Amino acid sequence: MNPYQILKLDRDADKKAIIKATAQAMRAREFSAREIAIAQKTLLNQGKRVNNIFKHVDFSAVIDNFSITPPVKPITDCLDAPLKF
Amino acid sequence: MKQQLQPEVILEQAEKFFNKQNFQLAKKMFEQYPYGLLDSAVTEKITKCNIEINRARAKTLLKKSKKLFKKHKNLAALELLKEAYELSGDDAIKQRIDAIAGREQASQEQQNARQAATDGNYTLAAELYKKLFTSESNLTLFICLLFNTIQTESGVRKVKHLLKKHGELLGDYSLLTEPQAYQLGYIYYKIGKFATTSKLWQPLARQDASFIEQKNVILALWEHQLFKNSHSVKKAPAFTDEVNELLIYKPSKTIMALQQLEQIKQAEELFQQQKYRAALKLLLPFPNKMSKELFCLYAGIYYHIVKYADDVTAIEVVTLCELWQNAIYNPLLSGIRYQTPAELADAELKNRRELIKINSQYKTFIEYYLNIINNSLQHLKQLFSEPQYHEFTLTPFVAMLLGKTQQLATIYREQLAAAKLADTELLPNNNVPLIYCNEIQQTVYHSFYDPRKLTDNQQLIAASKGNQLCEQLYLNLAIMAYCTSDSRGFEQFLLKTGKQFYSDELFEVMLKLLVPDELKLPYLIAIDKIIAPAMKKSKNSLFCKRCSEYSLQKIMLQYEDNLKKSAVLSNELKSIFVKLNEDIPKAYMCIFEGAEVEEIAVAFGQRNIQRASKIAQESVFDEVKDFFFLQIGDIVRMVVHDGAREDVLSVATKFYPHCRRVDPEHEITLMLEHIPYDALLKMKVN
Repeated sequence: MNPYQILKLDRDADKKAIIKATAQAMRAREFSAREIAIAQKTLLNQGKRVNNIFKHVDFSAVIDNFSITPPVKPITDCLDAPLKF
Repeated sequence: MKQQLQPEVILEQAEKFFNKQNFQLAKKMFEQYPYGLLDSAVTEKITKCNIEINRARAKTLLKKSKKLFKKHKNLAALELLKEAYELSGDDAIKQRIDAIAGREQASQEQQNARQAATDGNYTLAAELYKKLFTSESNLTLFICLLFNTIQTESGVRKVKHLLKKHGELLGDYSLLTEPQAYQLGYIYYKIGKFATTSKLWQPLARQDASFIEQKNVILALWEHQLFKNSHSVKKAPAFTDEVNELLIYKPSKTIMALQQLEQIKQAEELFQQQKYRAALKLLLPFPNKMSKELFCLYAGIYYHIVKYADDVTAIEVVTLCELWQNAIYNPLLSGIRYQTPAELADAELKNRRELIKINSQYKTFIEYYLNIINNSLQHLKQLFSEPQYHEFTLTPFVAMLLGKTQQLATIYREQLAAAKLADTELLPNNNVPLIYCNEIQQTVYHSFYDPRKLTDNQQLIAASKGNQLCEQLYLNLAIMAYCTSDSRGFEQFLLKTGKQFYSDELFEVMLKLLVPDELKLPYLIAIDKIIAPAMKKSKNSLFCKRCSEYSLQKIMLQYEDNLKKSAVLSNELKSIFVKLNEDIPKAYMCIFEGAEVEEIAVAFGQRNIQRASKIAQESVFDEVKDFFFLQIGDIVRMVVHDGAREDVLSVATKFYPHCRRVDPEHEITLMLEHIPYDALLKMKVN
C-alpha cells in the first residue's frame, strides 16, 4: 500500500508533517492502526522513503500538474458567409 | 325530304372514301349500308376504318399532350396519353406513360420529404430521402436542404438533430463533389463539429486566399475545442484520435502538449495492466525538459521493468541506477533532505541493496555501475556544498533529462576555479575528469535511444578517445548489451555513433560484430583480447572475470560449429584462456579437438602431410593423433592394393618421417619403418 496515500501526504512532506498526518489518519480510521504505523515508519525512514517513491508510481501527480498553454480563440468573421463553389 | 340512297350507291361511295383513306367518311357511309347485306369484305373494311380512326385520334391526343407537357401541365398531359394508349394500344406510349408517372411520383415524394423535414417529422423525412437516394441529384438536394436550413437559428438545432440521427445517409464523404464537400463542411462548422469540417475541407483543391483563411480558422477552432474538452472528466473515445489527427494539420505547442498528456494517460492504463514496457514506450524518448513528478514517474516505471519484465536489458538497468542514485543525493528530486552524512550513507546503502535484490542477474554489474555514479555524485556534493547549488548534484545524464546541462557545466567550472582545482586533479589516475567521463558516458547511453541527441560534447568525446577509463565504461555497456542479446540496440548505436567513442582500433573490431554470424567469431575473439587486459586493470576483478568468462562461454556455445572447423580460431581462444590463467572447461575440450581433426583432414586433402603431421604432433588429444594415423593407414592400404612395389616404397619414404615425428611407437610408424630402405635407396640410384 502506498504510504503517501495512507497518510494523504505529498512526497516532500517533512518529519513534522508526517507525524501530524499520522495522528489525523488514526482519527479518521480509514486504515488499520497497523497500516498507518507501517506507513509512518516507512516515511520517517529516509532510506526507505526514496525506495517508496519509485515503487508506488503516481501518474496523477504528473497529470494534475501538467500545464498546457491555452490557445487563443480565433476570430471567425471569414466564416460568416459561405463561399461559392 | 332526304332522298334515301340505294345500297349500291352507298357502298360505292363508301368504297370511294375508303380508297382515298378518308376513313371517317368511309365509316359513316358503311354505317348507312343495310345490315342484312353486309358481307365479310365490308365488315373487314369497317373494322379497318375504326382502327385508323382510333390511330388518328391517338395521334391528335399525343400532340395535345406534348403541348400540355411544355406548359408543365403534367397530370393533364398524362391523362391524354393514357387515353391515346387505350385507343392505339401502342407499347411506346405505354413506356412513356410509365416513365412520366415515375418522375411524377418521385417529385411528389421529394415534395413530401421536404414537407416532412419542414414540419419536424425527421424520421419520415429520412425514410423518404433514403428511398430517393438513387442518384447524385438527390444527394445534392439533401445537402442543399440542410445548407438552407442551417442559415437560421432554429435551423441549426433541426439540422443537428437530423445529422445526429441520420448522418449515415450521406455515405462515404470521399464520393462527394467539391461543392457538396464544401457545403457539408460548412453545415458541420455551423453545428460545432470542426473536426468533420476540417476533414471535408482539407482535401479540396481550391487554393485561393479566402478558402485558406477559412480552413485555418477551422483548425484553430478545432484546437480550441480540443483544449476545452481535455479538461472534462468524460471525453469522447475519439478524443485521442482527434488530437493525433489535428497534429498532422496544425502541429502547435498546445496540441503537442495535449498529445503528450494523452500518452501519459494511456501509459497509466497500460501500467495498471502491468504492461510496463508498453507504458514506457509511450513516454519515450525523454522530453526536452522534465518536471520532478515526471522524473519520479520514469524512475518508477523503470523499477517495475527491471523487477518484473523478462529479458531485462543493460540499458534499462543503467537508467534505473542513474535515476535512483540521483534521487538519493538530490533533495529536489526526492523531496527528502538528509540531516547528517550518516543518514545519506544509510539511504545509499539501502538503495544499493534494493537495486541489487530486484535483479540478481545483473548483481555484479549494478554494484560496479553504482560505484561509478556514486563517485561522481559524492564529488559533486562536496563541491556544491552551498545550499544554492544543491539542485545541481546530478549526474550529467540526469542533468540532461532535467534540462540543466549547461547550468551544471558552468557552475561546475566556477566551483573548480573557486576551489583552485585543476580538472585533472580530481581523479585518482589523473585522467580525464570524472565529470567529463560521465558526460560522455551519458551521451553514449542516450544515443542508444536517439543518436540525434549527440550535439554538445564533440570536443570532449574526441579528447576521450583512447582514454582507458572511458573505453572501459563503453566496453562495460557494450559487453552487457551484447551478452544480454540487446544486440539490435548495440548495432544501431555502433553504426550511427560508435566511431566517436571508440579508438580506431577498437571501433574496427566492434564494427565486425555486424557481419554475418559465421564471420563474427574471429572478431569476437579479438574483442576479448582487448577486453581481458582492460578488465584486469579494473579494481572489481570479480566483475572482470565473470564478464570475460561469460563472453567466452557465449562465444563457444554460439559458434561451436565454427570452432570445430578452424584450428586457428580455436587456438586463439585457447590462448585467451591461458592469458586469464584459467583452465579450459572440460565441456569445451571436444570443440578444440574437433577443430584439429578438421584441419588435418583439410591438410591431407591438399596433400600437405607436413602440415597435418605438425597439427597432430602439437595436439594434446590422442583422438587427433589417431585420426592422423588413420588417414595415413588408408592411403598406404590403397597404394599397396593398387600400386606397384615402387609406389609403396615411395609412399613409405614420404610418410615415415612425419609419422615418426607424431608418434614413433605407433604401429603404422613401425610398419613403415620395416619396409626395406636399402632396396629403396638402390632403386633411386638406379
